[in-house]
Formats: sequence, structure tokens, C-alpha cells
Amino acid sequence: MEVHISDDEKLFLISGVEQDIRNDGRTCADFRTIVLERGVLSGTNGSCRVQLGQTTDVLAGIKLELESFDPAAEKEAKQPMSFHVDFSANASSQFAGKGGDQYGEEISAAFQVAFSRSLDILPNLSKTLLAEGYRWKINVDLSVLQWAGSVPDACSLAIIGALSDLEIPEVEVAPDDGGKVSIVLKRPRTGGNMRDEEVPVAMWKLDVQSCPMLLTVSKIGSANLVDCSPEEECCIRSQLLIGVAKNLNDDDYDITCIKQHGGGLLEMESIQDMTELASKTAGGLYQAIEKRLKTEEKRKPGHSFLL
Amino acid sequence: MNSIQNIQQLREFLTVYNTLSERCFNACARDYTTSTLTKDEGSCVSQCIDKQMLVNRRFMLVFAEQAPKALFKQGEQSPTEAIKSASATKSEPVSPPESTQTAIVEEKQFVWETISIENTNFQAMSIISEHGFRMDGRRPAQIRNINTRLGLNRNAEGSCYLEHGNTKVLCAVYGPYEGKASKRLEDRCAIVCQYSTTTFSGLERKNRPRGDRKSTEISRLLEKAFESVILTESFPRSQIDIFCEVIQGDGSNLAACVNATSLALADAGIPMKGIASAATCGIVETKPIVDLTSREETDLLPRVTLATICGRDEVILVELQNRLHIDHLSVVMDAAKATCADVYECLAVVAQQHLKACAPILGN
Repeated sequence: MEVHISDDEKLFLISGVEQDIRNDGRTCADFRTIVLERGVLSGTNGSCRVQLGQTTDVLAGIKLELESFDPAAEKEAKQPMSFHVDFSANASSQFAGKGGDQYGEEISAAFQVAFSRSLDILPNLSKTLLAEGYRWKINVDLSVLQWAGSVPDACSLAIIGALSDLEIPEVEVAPDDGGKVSIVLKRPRTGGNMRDEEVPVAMWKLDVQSCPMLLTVSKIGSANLVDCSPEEECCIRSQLLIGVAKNLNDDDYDITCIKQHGGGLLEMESIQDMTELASKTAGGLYQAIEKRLKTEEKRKPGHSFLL
Repeated sequence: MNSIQNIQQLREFLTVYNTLSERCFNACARDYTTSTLTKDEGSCVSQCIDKQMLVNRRFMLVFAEQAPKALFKQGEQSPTEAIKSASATKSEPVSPPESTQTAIVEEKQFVWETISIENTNFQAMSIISEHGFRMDGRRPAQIRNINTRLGLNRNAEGSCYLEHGNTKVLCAVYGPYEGKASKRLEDRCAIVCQYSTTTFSGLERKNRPRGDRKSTEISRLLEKAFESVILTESFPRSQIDIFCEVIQGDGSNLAACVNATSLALADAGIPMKGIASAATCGIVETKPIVDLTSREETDLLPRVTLATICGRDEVILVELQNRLHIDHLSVVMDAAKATCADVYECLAVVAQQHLKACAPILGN
């Protein structure tokens, strides 16, 4: 969706945000209303849909894959998640064909960097490494269904939602011929007279309390904003994508990456201010997500999420 | 089917058992004075069995690896031929020890027989049960539940979210607007379609959401179909964009896209000859089944996707996958036409309800 606003409207908007008042009544550090639904797609191992202000709409789906790799080729353990962001043409006709590919790849790459240390950050992620040479690969795919600014923010919320929804099967690893291993799903005996293949597989979940998120902080005039609307994105001087992760040890927030999106120059002090705003906002978001994940009801199978 | 399998299994087991006991008797039983086994005979037997079982297990592993490949690339061959030809390639990597060869050859043949019996009955058995129900509990001529929501995309002129059971499609219509000069037509509007599937929509993860041969083909099919439904002459020199995104694919994706698109076009208020509806039909042993799921969309089952206007005889799209016998054509087409009429009824109700809900806003 392309937004065209006049110079006077821009001036109004900029002088507004410099006094901490945005056009929709928010302050600079406020997010729009967030809607987060988990378990929306039965065909995935974990899924989540996030709406920001009822206009930006992102759908995340996770597919697990048993991956074999060469342990000798990797100096240090690689994190098992891979991200792919796709802009659906539904969101805007400018994304038709290859229109959204460049921005999509840029965001995917930023997530890859923000999550590069996730083996150290997420407490039980290392459990995905099953045996020497075998691991669960977590394919996190995001589809942007509607677009109205702040896609990276919506994506990172959807990723956290989907990761918390993700169920990973427990497996038993037994040594096999020729130094290989055989990997079998673990089915706990319940004592009933079910056949072996009818016993449900044991599952475990990731601990996402400290999952990294990517926030956009934008400089408009002299003010720093989070969660920009499309009108505000027209007035941006410079934008940073800041990766924030909660530090479980000292309850503080670590910056995992910083990436500039678009043009513009920034002074050192501004970057300092913007990262501070990012970690402050992240605190609120982590709290809100934690609350939501605890209180959200389990959906019935066959629930249709867009109705 | 179950009893046939049981008999097969029993026969297979007995052969293995008899071969084993005979060989053991010939090789190890030296002392005919007692009715029980002596210590030497006992150890001899257990060694033999271990050996036999190990070879057997290894053989089954290789077979399990090779059999699906043989089943799925049949092409011109009959099922039994395919398995025999597969066996020629299969027996190469395994070279069992000389002594156990005879037993193994027999074993192998038995497994082939089981497979070939399963294979000839494969289509009918797995798709329609003996009581006449399909895998998800539907009757052959029953469609899945259709759920819809119109106008959920605020940026688009018209949009629709549609579910056929577990197949979930999102469609947005942009336009008519002054499009690209290269696509402009002097006498009517150009229709541009894009079909894409999310990477997590299918059973296996896909690497690309669009641009592969299949997606491009479906995009062109949708384009051609809706060029004959939309009154394109009303908007000369302009363009209408139709974007379909399959969020979750569980069979009949093209039909779901046609249905979603016609509702989205209705939501956008674009004049059409009527509401188009579509259905995918297959045929199992002369019996048509409608609205296929992804488990029913196999390589062996012929399937026809048909789209008509207002459930009448005006066909706007026919697509055939796999080979269909000419005698079955009229049966499938009749079933598809009837299903299109059924689906049309559902879509018409949705459109009317939406219009009624909009009436207060429109001021009437």
C-alpha cells in the first residue's frame, strides 16, 4: 500500500511527534493494539498469527525437519532455526511477482543475525541437537498477509508466538551399524491396550521467555518512535532494526544486533537513545507476551482463525 | 482386506518357520535317541536363527527403502512388472551368504505377492471403505464444509477468506485501476492473476512460495477463467489484479481459489456474468468422488477440476490431472457439474448475507 501525503500533513505529523503526540493518539513509545493467536494452522508444527492495529497481519508457520550435518565442517554449533519472510501480494499489489522479495530477504537476514546466538540465549534450544550429525531444523516461515507498517515488529511477535506453540517430538537415539545412529520417536507406555503406533509421541516445548525480538525504531524529526504507521513511515529520516533479547540472569535486555534500514545518517548519541528506547519497549512487550501466552485458551482442532 | 493380509502373513511366517526347522534338522540334529535337544544342538540352532534373522532384517530394511520408489514411478508398467524390475536393481547391493540363499529367495517372493495384491486394490481400498465412506468420513458425493469471510483486507478493493475443510485460501482483488502500459488493452480490461502458496502450506515444506511451474500454470488458468466471467468491456484500458494465497493446502486448491476469487470479485463490486464456482472430482472404479483432499490426490487417481457460472452449463475452466479413461469422462463431468451447482448455492448464500449486512452502510 503506497501512501501519499502532502508536505503540510508531514509537517503536522512531525511537529506532533516532537511533542510526543502521534496522529492516532499514541505516544512515541506506544505500540498499536496487538492481537496474537496461536495454533491456527493444523498442518504445521507450530503457528501463530499476529495483527498490529488490525492492519498489519503476519502469519508464522513452523515446519520441523530432521537434518543431518557434518559435525567436522562446523567449528561451533550452528543454531537450528532458519527464517524466511514472504510478502504476499495480498498485502499490496506492489509485492506482486518479485516485488516483495528484496525487503523480505532483508528482514529474513536481520532475523538470522538477531538469532545467531540463540543457542546461548534460549535455555533449552540445545536439546534440538539429537546426536553427533543429527538435529531438528526449525524452519520458521512468515507470510505478511496485510501490510501497514512495522512488519519486523509483527514478525518477531509472531515468531515468539509460533516458537512457544511449537511441539518437538521426543526421540530415542540408539547406536547402529557403521557408527551411525537410529532415531526413533519416543512413545511412553500408558498401560492401556493400545498398539505401539497408536500411543501418542511425547513432545517437548521451547522456553521462549528470553527469545530475541527485532524492533524497529524510527527517527522522525528529533523524536524516536516505535511501531510506525504507514503515514509515519513516509516521514522517517532514518530507521534502525534493533535485536533485543531478555537476559534471564540479571533481568536486563541485551542488544543482539543493529541494522539500519533505508537511508539517512545518525549521530552516535541518537543510536544510544534509540537502543535505549528499544530495550525499554522490549520490557513492556515481553511482559505482555508472557501474560498472553499464559492466559490464551487452547484452540479446538478445526478452529478457523480468520472468521 | 484384513483377512487377506492375515492369511498372507500367516503363510509367510509358516514358510520361514518350516524352512528354518528343516535346515536346522538337516544341519544340526545328529542324535536321534532323545526327544529333546542336546546342548550342542541347542547352541547350533540359536546361532542359525540369529544369522537368519539378521539377514532377514537387513533384507527388509533394503526392501522398505526400495519398494516405495518402485510403487511411485510406474509409468507404463503394470504394478507387478514394476516390482519385478525393481527387484532386479534391488538384489544387487545385498549379497547374502551362500548358505542362506534359498530361504531368502522364497521369503522375497512372498513379500512381492503381498505387495502386488495390495497394489491392485490400492485405489479402491484406501479411498472408499467397504461401507462406502472416505478417509475423512464423507460420502463419495459429499463436499467439505465451506466457511467464508468477505472484506477482511482493508487495503484491497475486495477480499475473501475461504475454507474448504482444511484447505484455506485468502484472495484479494485490486482494481480496476490504470495499470501498466505494457498490459493495457484498448477495448477491455486486463486481468492479472497470481497464485502462490505459503511455504508451510503443504505436507512438505516448499522453498519458494511462487514462480514454480505449477503455480504459474494455475495463475494462467485463473486468468483465463475470470476473463470470461468478468464483463471486461466495461473497463477499457484498465487492469484488475487477483491475488490468491493458499495458507493451508489440503486438496482441491485450484477449485478453492476459483471460489474465493469469485467472492472477492463480488465483494469488490466488479460486474460479472455470474458467480463462478468450481469443484475437483476424481473417479475410483467408475464411482465419482468429489472435493478431493490431499490424501486422495494421488498420482494414480484421475482428477478433473471444473468451473461453471452460477451452477449452470456454462463451463469456464476444465483441468485434468493424470489419465482418465474416455468411458469415465461423462460420469466425472456430470458429478463435477452437480458439485459446482452445490458449491454455487453456498457461495450465493454468502454473497447475499454479506450484501444484507452491508445494507445499513449503503443506506438502503
